[in-house]
Amino acid sequence: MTFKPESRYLAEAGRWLCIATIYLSVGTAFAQSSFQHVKNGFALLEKSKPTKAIEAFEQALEAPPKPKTASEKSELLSYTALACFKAGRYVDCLEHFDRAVQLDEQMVDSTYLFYRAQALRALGLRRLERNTWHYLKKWDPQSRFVKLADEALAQKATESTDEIALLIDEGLRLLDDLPAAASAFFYEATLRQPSNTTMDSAVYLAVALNKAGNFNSAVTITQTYKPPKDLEDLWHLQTGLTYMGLNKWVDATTAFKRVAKSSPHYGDATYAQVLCHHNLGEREFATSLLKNIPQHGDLKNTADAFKRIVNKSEPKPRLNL
Amino acid sequence: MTRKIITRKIARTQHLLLPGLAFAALLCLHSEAQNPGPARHVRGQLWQQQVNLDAEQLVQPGKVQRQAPAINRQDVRKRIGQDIQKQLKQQTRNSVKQIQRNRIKNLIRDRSRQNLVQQQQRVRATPSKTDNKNQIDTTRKQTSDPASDISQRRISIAGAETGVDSTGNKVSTQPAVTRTITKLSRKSMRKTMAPTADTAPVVTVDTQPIDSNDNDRTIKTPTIQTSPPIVDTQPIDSDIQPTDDTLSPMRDGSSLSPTR
Repeated sequence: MTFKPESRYLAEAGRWLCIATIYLSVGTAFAQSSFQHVKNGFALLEKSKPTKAIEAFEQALEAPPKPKTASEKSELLSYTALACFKAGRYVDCLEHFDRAVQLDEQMVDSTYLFYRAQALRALGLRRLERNTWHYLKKWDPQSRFVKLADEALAQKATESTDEIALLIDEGLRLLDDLPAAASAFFYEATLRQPSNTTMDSAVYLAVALNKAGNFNSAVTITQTYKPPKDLEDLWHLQTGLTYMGLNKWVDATTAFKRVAKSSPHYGDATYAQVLCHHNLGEREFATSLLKNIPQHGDLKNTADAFKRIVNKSEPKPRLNL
Repeated sequence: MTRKIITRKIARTQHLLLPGLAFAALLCLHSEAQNPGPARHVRGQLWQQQVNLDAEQLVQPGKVQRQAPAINRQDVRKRIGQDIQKQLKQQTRNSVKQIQRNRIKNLIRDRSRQNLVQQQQRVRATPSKTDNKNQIDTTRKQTSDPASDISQRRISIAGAETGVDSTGNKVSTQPAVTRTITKLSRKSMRKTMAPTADTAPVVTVDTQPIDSNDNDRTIKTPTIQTSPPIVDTQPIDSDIQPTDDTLSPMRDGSSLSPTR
């Protein structure tokens, strides 16, 4: 076989290869890896540009290679939280730190507790701040932050009961987008009220914790506090959802059963029971309950869809073993 | 002359020069883009530097301030109720996924069980080729459910016992203490006992003990050495010598029957 450089096919192929390569080169030159964004983020923090650093760390969460493990994602979230703290965005700082801890419990250390306490202090959540400083001292008595903790605890905090309504309002404002931060506001409001009173802030706290996926704390709250009469149904529903989050189906069923028949949430509670019984393997009972769900918003459609799936005949075997 | 050749070669390949260079540049840029950046310990150092700056002093205590107009609590409760429906829908999706996973798991389990039974049936069919009532005592049970029979099966062959474990593999139940003869001697034994064309078909059961130091017990289980399939067609107590007509056990169609 003879090589013919003048062959126009080869020349054409060479030209196209050249164009494709240049095109790809330009694309790749602008693409940055996740950890390069981290590098940039820290460089921006050093230059005292925390707002831009937040952007860099947030881009790191989206850029390839995406964090594969929960630990890596947690690490990136904590960088964002640090940048938020430096930018004075304390609510975002709390949210990011809490999400980081939710993903990886190993993140809890004296540094995390220090930043949490500082953010709470800046937001005026003084009860929670004091609790956090105490926890830090207990967690690591040799920590370099202990001196600051003592200093903060020595200061007298001025609290006003008038602030409770403000705290709840602020929590409700944050509930949809930043549930972990909202839970801090509700918890502060709950702590500031006398312990023997029933309070709606505890109900909202349970809602926020469930939304944030912090089910273990939600269990503690539902076992500690009592809801006001008019929010009892909502409370039982939240308790049930907490147990569902922890896959404790029997406890969840018990909670859902407490929802009164007259409640507007009765349909939800019955449907939740169906799911629990189904997951407990009590299929027949679940199916019988499913028939009794009252017409209730678009939940009825969900229930019907679920029924169709449960009753669907066995699919044909697809696996050839 | 040589220079001329080189010059010509360069001239011939110069159209590939630009794509080549561009490709090399692409590789460099790609490797740069894939650069993992600072390693974990370096990131840790950068983190610590920032923490050190903050660890010096406490922030100014803030005050709870109204950021937005007061929120109607009734609206909030309504919204929370709607959120519950969202959460339940999510739970439904999870449950449906669970159902589908369980179905696939059950299918796999059923198929595995079916395969096991088929394998078991094949294993059962095997000794029928050497079925000889004088030498082989088959004591297996015939039950309606073959799967339940797996662990109970025992085939006693001239002093050696071969069983089938729960996974369907053949196992030897012969005590390891008696296995003293080496593999080599067993091979030579087989050679000497190999049937010839003249001899009457005989089932030779290899019951020789195996080297106890050898770890691979599954291979060393006493195996049944049979002469060619003619064995099945000739009862051992028969005086009739095998003929060429009996070479194929399939001719009479009965030789493979385990009940023969």
